[in-house]
Amino acid sequence: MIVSELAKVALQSLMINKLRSFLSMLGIIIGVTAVIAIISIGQGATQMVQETISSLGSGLVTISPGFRGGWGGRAARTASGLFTLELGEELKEKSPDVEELVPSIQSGGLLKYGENSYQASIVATASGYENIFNHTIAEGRFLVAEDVDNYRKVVVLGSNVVRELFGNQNPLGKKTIIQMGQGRFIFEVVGVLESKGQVMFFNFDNQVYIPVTTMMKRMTGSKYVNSYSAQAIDSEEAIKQVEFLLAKRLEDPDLYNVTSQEEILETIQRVSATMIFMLAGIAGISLLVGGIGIMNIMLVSVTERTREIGIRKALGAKRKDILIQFIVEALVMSLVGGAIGLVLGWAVSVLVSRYGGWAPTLSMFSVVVGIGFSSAVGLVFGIYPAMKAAKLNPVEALRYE
Amino acid sequence: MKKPFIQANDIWKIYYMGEVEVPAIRGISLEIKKGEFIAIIGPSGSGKSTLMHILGCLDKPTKGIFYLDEEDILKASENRLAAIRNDRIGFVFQQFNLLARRSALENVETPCLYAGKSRKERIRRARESLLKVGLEEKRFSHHPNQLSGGQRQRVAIARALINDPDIIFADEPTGALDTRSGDEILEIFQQLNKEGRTLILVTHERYVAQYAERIIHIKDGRIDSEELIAQ
Ligand SMILES: Nc1ncnc2c1ncn2[C@@H]1O[C@H](COP(=O)(O)OP(=O)(O)OP(=O)(O)O)[C@@H](O)[C@H]1O
Ligand SMILES: [Mg+2]
Repeated sequence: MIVSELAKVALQSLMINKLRSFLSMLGIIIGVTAVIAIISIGQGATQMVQETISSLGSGLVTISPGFRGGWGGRAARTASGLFTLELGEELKEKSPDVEELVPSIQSGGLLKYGENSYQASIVATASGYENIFNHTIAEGRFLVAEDVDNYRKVVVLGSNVVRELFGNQNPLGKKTIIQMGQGRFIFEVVGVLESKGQVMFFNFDNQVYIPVTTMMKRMTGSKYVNSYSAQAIDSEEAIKQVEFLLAKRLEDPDLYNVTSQEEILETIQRVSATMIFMLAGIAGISLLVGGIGIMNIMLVSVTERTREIGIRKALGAKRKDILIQFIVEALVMSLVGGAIGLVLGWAVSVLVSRYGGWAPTLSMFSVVVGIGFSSAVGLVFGIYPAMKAAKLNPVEALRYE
Repeated sequence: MKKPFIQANDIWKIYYMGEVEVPAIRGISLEIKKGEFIAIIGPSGSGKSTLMHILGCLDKPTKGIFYLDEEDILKASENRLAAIRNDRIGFVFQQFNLLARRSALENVETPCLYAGKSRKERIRRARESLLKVGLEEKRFSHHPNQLSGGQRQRVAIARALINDPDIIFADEPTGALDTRSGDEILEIFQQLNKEGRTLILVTHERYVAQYAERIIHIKDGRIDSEELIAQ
């Protein structure tokens, strides 16, 4: 008996009850859609974050205050009263593998020029920052040592800030007002950075850069910086040296955190892989539910078609012919469901990737998972009803009303 | 010595309803020669259909001896029985038992499908078979519910014939038909018998049984009497 012929018989049976077949597939459709979308979105997002972090340049080491009591929350930041400019100088001088080190303070403020205003992230830092973070100067210059030494009120703008404040005008040499808290300060624009683009929730192009000393002495009066960013020759060595020095200055190792870009990349990779698998696993449960739906409808179908099975057996169908017919029916349902799910899942991930700003990826892996899982589900849940059908006694089946 | 084409000795079929034994066939012995036209007649519930299912290899007797063309059917596997039904036996039922959602042609094709014949061969044979029983060509694509009772029974006969079987079993084939189309169906059977096919016709109407050469009377699962009909 030719399987393709039985497949045709199965297909015809499914077409007779189109709506019912579709409804039975729904579980599989939703399951596969979810699995495909989650894998694709997860991979796309992770890849983008990784690319962004890599684009900051290799050898980046960040020295930040330690976090206590888990992630997040401003209360967890405990060391903001410990990092001084002098400590930064010392770290730079005494660590042979630290090539460059700049302090930075992150803040926010409203920039104004004429009628235009723009809420920007303000980074107070020093010369060298642009090299550590691989920024390219589009116009003018970045902050230089003299700016920092003399508390100059100069500002370097990200490309979005320039567009919003100055439109097509040349911003160099223009005076802009930075409003921070109660204070209003007049800054001169000395440079514009090349665009780096949106990085998830973070946009470098919304930032403006001012000398760290200007921020501390003229604007906030603070003696401390938020963090240090360093360019290492060898990241691992640099971390060891910095940690050694910090341990001497600040007894409690919980107060600070020294991480390299490589470590962050690794962590992101690990965390996101776990997340993707967990979410895909949850979505996989709906595949299981879909399988049960198919099994249910197949059992109903076997009962309804008892007489048909009896007739086929009287005409010479063997157990295996009936078995194949019903398994193919279950398989076709789950595979068609899987295919629809694949298309829908792909559509969802393309849609989400547009908002997220990454390239949509349809990996071979997710296609294999989608098709593989749905056919496995069809087989597993189709086999019991099919066996039930195949085992029917022909005379009893023929007598069935 | 060569055994008769169909040989049954002391066949019993006992159904079990819980603890209670319901014997449907109670020790039937009979011999049928190749090419015979037999009618099995008896009141309702006497076990005619049960006997026909056993002789047609659809069901095995609870005990007894049954040889079909020298093959011990009680020892045959389920697959072997399916192959015998497919290859050597054709069934015609009172309620037609056509596949509802298939065309006349597809219905007739089905035994050929299980015989593993190619699509082209199946269609060729199905058409031939349908023409032979006198169904008009324009009705080949009709579904059973678009056909009259007589036409449906023709389709069923065409289906029984498609694998060129040795024996045809018909269980009250005229039971659901009016006299005229019933007669037409019986004439087809007579014609098939003339071509050399063994025919076993189950009925409870004397007048239908009259078409056969030999009538076996069944009562309470036993053979009551036999009579030969002079043609
Ligand atoms: N699966 C079963 N379980 C129990 N009893 C059964 C079963 N099948 C048939 N019988 C019994 O066996 C007896 C013979 O049934 P059968 O169908 O062979 O009769 P019949 O002669 O064909 O009757 P009819 O002319 O009404 O078709 C009946 O009494 C019936 O109730
Ligand atoms: Mg009967």
